[in-house]
Amino acid sequence: MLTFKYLPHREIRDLSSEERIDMILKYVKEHEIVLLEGTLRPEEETNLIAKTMESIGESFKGIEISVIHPKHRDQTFSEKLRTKIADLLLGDSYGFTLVGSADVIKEITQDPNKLQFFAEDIKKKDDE
Amino acid sequence: MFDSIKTFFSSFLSRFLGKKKDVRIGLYGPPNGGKTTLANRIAKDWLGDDVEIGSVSEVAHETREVAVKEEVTIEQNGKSVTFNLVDTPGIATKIDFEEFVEKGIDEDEAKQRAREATKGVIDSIKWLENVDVVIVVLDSAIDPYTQVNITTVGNLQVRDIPALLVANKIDLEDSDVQRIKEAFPEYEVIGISAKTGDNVNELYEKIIRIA
Repeated sequence: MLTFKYLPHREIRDLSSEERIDMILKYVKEHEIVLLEGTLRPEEETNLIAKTMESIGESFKGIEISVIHPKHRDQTFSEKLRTKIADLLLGDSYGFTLVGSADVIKEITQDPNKLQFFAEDIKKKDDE
Repeated sequence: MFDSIKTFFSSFLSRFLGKKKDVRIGLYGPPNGGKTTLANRIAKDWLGDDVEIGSVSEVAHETREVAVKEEVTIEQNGKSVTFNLVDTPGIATKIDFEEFVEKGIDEDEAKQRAREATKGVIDSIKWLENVDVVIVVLDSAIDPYTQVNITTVGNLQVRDIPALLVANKIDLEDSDVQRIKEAFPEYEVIGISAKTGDNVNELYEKIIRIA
């Protein structure tokens, strides 16, 4: 069975960058697919990659990550304005970030408006 | 609007390269984009046929350590620019030794390669603190819209590091430079083949023109 862990923005907004990354990696290593409300900052994404690299071994091959963000270049001026206001009010809560173990998520394809991923039920595989 | 941003980056790069000594130009991008092939092309063209920055391979993560070539001078039409060229390991979110085994590498060697590759990715990220200008090298024959590419470019933006995007491998049938331009419209994209040398002069001219 594939398991999603939904992390609402309110659950992570008061955490430090390190704590956010540690929380995401903890769930990912437990083979959960993390659906984070909002996005990590670019520096946090690189820190997540660096921490992932530190954790890689024979039982953990890394992560797949994808971000759906409404700040798309085709936004109209009013949409951009709404996004900007939402950013000011809600911080990084706009959009969604999907993170999963590379063992579970085999491939992610994305374009600015949609995201597709192919997952494998590794928990079921482990039980067999 | 995008043209004005491009002009800003060009102008900024020009001022930057014109004034600062020991400018470091970093080659960044995902594995197998052709960073080391481009580094070797630049070395061959400007330092001599016998100069090589690193080995290249069809197997990903061939470059696992940051390599720096100091004092590379590009000259054209009476103008020149001198910089230190930094070739970095490809940035990835996953590294699986079994993929190296599938490419015919011995298992122990594959595990060692994977360990070194993870360290290489970390070093690449750390080196973002030390480069002044970045050339992002992307394989123009594959989909550029990956989170690694977006994260790399996003980091350059938040760190205010001027950058050029190279759409490499234009010699391949599936090459699509336009796709990269559409994915990253705020950057100047130059289509080249580091392997054959096609259009690398445009890249050199760009560096010199803005210097």
